[in-house]
Amino acid sequence: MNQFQYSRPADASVAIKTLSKDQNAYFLAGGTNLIDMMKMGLVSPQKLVDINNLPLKTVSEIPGGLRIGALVSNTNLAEHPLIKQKYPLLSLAINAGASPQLRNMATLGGNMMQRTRCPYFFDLTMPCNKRVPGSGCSALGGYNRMHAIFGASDKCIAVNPSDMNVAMVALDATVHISGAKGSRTMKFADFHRLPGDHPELDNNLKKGELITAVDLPEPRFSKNVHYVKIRDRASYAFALVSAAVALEIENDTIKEARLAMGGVAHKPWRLTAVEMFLKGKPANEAVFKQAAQLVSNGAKAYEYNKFKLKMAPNAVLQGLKVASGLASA
Amino acid sequence: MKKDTIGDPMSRVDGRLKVTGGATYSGEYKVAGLTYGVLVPATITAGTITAIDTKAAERAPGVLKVITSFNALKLPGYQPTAEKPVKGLKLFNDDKVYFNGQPIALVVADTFERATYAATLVKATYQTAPFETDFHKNLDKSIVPQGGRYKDYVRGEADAYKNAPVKVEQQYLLPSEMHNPMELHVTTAFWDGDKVTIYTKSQGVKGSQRSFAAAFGIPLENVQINSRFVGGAFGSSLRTWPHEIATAQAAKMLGKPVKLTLTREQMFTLVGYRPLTIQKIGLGATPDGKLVGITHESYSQSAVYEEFTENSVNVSRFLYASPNANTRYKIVPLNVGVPAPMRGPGEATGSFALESALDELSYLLKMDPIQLRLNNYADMDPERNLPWSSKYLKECYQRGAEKIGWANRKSEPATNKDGDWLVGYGIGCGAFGAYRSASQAKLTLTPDGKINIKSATSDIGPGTATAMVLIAADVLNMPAEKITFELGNSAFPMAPTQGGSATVSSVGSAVHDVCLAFKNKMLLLAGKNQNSDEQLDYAAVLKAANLPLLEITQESKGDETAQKYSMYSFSSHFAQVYVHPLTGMIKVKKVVAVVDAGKIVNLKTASSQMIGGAVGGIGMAMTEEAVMDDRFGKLANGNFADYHVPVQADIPQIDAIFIDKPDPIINPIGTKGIGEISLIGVAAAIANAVYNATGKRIRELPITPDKLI
Amino acid sequence: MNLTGSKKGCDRGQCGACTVHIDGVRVNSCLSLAIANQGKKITTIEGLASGDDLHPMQEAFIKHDGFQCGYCTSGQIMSGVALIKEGHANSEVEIREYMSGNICRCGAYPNIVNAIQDVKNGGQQS
Repeated sequence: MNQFQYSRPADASVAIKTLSKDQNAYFLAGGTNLIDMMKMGLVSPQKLVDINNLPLKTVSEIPGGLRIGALVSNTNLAEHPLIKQKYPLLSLAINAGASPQLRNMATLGGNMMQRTRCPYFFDLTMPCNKRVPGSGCSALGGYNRMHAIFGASDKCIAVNPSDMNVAMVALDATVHISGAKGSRTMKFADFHRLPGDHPELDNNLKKGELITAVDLPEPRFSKNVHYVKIRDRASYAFALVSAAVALEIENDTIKEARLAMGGVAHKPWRLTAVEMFLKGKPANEAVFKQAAQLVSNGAKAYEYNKFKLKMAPNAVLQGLKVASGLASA
Repeated sequence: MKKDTIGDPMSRVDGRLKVTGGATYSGEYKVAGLTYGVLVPATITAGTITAIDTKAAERAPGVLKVITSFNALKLPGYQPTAEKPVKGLKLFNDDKVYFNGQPIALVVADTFERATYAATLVKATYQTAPFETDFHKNLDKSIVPQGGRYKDYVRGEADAYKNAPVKVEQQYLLPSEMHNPMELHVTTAFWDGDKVTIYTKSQGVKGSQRSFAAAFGIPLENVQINSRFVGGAFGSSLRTWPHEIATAQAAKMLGKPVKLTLTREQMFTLVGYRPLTIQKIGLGATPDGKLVGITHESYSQSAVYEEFTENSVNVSRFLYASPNANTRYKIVPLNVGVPAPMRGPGEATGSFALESALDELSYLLKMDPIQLRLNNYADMDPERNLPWSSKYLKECYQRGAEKIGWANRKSEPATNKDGDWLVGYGIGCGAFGAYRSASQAKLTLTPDGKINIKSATSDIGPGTATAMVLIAADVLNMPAEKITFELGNSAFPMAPTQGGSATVSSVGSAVHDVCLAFKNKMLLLAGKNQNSDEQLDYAAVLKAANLPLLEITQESKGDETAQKYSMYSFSSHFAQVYVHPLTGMIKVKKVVAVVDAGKIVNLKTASSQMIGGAVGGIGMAMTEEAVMDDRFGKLANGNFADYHVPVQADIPQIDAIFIDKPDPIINPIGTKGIGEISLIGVAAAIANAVYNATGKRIRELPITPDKLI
Repeated sequence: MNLTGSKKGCDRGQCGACTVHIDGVRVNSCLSLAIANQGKKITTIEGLASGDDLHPMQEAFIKHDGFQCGYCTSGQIMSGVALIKEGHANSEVEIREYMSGNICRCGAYPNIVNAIQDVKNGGQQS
């Protein structure tokens, strides 16, 4: 590891200022991703601005929803009584990720900033447009089992590894961001980017900006929800594909559906067309099967991830069945 | 006086040290003036190093030395002579690169962090050469390994299966698997004149001693190896690796103690692995399920600089009675690090293929897989035409079938459901040679009546010392608390390397025999008849004889009787799996591991070892696969997040059942060994259960969800 | 400090061998910076026993043989102690899931579950 300067401001404006003026400064929150990348030589910060003293660790009810501070740990979020009661999908998704130890360390904001697990991104000796723009994409013609089937570009086919993000997108969350020039908000669904010509950018956060909170809207999906995560071992593994499913069912009719997928794109992948298909239809297996058939529309697979074209709809179908009570988890 | 007896379940004698963090592994010894070495990997896959720029690294803070082939101390054992050509990989001895990640430099600094940073500053230039890492592309370049052992085997007629009324002809693939013990490989070395002291992760301190002595051209007694606690190995520490020698080389060049710790990522290239293997099985049978021919071919990955071989095809020669059997074993040399035996080694690989094929045959015959095995039960070894020293495999079938609930198995695949889940049952069997090597043990009686026994064996986890204490307690008719056993020190009496499931058979026999010799010595001192059963107060005898202490060393080895028998441990593994038809996720619900491994010394630790082997087999079946990116000649998943070893959530309760009847031939205790057999057959049991559940025959491991949707 | 109980198995948060408690919460120490934890209470395996009396979880690991080589054991025990406190040791399935951040290559998993259940059912405070 390189040597670096360390500071721990108690005030967000100081933290933001340091980051804005210093090209090679990084915020340090839970550290589960950043410290790993520092050890692997992927990043070599000259300054680490530890934000753990900032007052961003509370979950509070606000008019029309819930506000979650960016430094709330993944565990505290998943275990929070209000989350478990009103937004259980978020609990399920968070608990499907990483390990208890990592969830104790990782924060909401850090989870959003988590970088891809593409093996070529992590291997300094191999070309990667995300790590070194213009160097090429090794995954495109390489071992791309874990890679995207939606929204990829010829520059990058990596996926966002987070489970939490998938639920946040399904729940229509909103992100609060502070920067040197003031604060702004952004739909969670707009936070992460598709790779396009700039795979080095994972999200739309600008240099020096700090995620301060995420808002969840009024709870609508507290009952018929499920998070399906298909992976190579039963726990402590990234998703091959995952599906967050939230249904509002009234008299066996789907009033509203929210569907998002993980492990399939550079960002959490919302299945808007499938949601529209489901709206107003009866909650039964036949409808769910028809819906699942729409999931892979527009998908494109590579040499080693063709199975995802089938696994993605299967995951959604299983999610719909469990969420609606037609199957058990 | 309470007596501890062979067969008792006994807690580990080193348990307290291990649960308090007090057990000291090789990297944890405090050595004054310690410095830290970090290896620099080659970034090409084949070729020649033309230059190495070490200036930036040498200027980095804390750096003491950068060792490369251009400045390394020449080691006598590395230089070829007319009589003795130098074989294999020798670090920093020449400019050749054989595989990606091969160390080309060793940076030593005052801290680990500084050495790690400086290692990134070393820049090599290369003359690259074409390389081959693609196993499948190079299959036609496979070769028969050197030495006579691997020539084709034919009994009766070759390929007789082809003319049988019912036949299976299939190919099975096992990917490369990494040992990945939890402890990283660590070596610390320091010199005092021409004597060197080494702390290293070793399954055999005497073997390590020989390797270091040979490399540095010094007498054996100048090399002191310590390896008291080993944090798992599974075969990765059977040999002395080149980087261990390099650590001592650096220590000599610097005149300071050097510690070298491999990174987890380096563990994927520098300390061996179970090689990628393709096996072709042909089975022919009569309609009533009698085998008429078995053909087993195996092709596995090896390195261009060293041949690695194992017994993947041997099981097909003797496990079942077939008048005709033939085997072929070949290797494919590639630009990769050399493999190493990994728990169960080739026998586990071979058993996966043979036992899968046998399962396929059972469905063709519409015959229960256990019945098929019974129909072809070998009452004597058909390969060597010798009687078994002992074999209770039929009992294994029976007890396992009862415990798993085999009666609930549906003979038609994909017809057994529990809710949404498909339920299946499978069996997989295996055999592993029961070995015994010469071994010594030294017993010391002190005036307090306590017994200490020493032998230069190892404990990579099975509980060696615990077993030895129990054997001694049994023979001496004493409570275990009064006995201690020490190991992992090359200065102790000779013992074989811990491998091939032979430690209790070999070292246990030495402990057994030294205790007998000691008893007789005590009887003699007390003026009693030899071999009498009389229980003496040893402290009193010692005192009466006016002796400060009593030491006795005994060697123990097998005799020629053993040549007249075929000696194996046998296993029968059963699995019950649930497969979700939509997600393809597999839940292993139950595993029953039944072994005939002769007498079991410590029921508690032996059960744990059996369970551990089953866990390893579940990894082999379901999660483990090292993937080579042949464009770069480098692994694409060489880390602990992307290479999946089983986690807690993958593993159900596992029942370990022992036949527990002593083998009358192999050794005085009658124990045949369980370390390897615990894994052999597990992968086939899972794969066969998955077929029974789903009707999907997976012939390429691991069985991941994508293969089942 | 010369406390070697917490182990390095991967240095990257991929194995759990380095698990310690920071202010009572289990974390992977390999991804924690010392400077970021000044003033916090860090408990390692060495801090679990009181004098010669082993912590009930340590006793249970010996009793149920919840280890073989012993290298992952410190992390397993620290995780197990935390797990009971977290309230996720209510069933075998739950224990398995919430102990999945601690890899054991010797395969002591079922025995580890038994040890944790024993402590949990013994009602012993951790």
